Amino acid sequence: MNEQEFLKQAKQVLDEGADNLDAATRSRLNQARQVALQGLDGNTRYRAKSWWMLPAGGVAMAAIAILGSVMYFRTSGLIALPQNSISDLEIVASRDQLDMYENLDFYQWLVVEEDANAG
Amino acid sequence: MDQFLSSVERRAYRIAKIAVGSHEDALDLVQDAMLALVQKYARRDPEEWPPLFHRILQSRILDFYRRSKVRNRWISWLGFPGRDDDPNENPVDALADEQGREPMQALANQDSMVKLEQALQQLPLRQQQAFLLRTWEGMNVAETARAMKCSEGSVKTHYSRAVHTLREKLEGHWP
Repeated sequence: MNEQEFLKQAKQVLDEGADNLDAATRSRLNQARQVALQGLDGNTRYRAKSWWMLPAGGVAMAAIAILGSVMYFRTSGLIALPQNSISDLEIVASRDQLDMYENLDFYQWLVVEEDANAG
Repeated sequence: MDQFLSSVERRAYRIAKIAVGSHEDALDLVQDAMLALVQKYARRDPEEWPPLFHRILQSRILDFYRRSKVRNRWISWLGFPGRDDDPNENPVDALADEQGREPMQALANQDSMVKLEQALQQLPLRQQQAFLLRTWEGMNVAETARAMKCSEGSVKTHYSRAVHTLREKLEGHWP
């Protein structure tokens, strides 16, 4: 089997996997799509269930509480902080920054593409 | 937009599932990517939606990896019980199936898919992304680089290594 045949078979196998998703998963995907499409009307604001999509305010409060505990225990000499603890907190609270960066990067790409097409 | 999302949602779910291993997390990631696309880019030219959607999805997957790593480190440090420590939960049920096997997939006619998913899940994430976007989504090198937020050279390297590893693991096992 050469590389092209291998890639063709891999794609076919992946397609079959997607086509044969169980009914429950297809239903969940359909629901997810409908929820997303409600955003087109601008009258629905999705609230994610995942812990990592908690609102920034809640994350900030949790970070402050953790920091308070950390400072207490640290000054009492009971425990040591894990490595990279400060950068961790920054990561946990950085959702908005990531979104902004993501968009800026895309706009930069569009400019490059347009320049390339113009040239 | 409805038609586009409908056409891409199943593949997006499979990509997310292969990446994170969890059914629920994969659904959440796909829904989040759909929402972001609708809310931010619905007015864009529909031809821009596929690369934009996959760029968002891959970004969310990377974000998920990073936050999961941080969360686990803090949970471990603080001594909070993790999912596997719940006395009411069967630890076997809670264990992530790193090989992606599900009952339906164990059927004989899906053996090839199981083997491919196992091999894909064993790849480094970046190789996995490069392979799926290039081979399955049909993206060219430049589009894949944009979706993965890396250089075209990196895409070529990740893709080449992924193909080499997958061929090594799968050829001879596939019918």
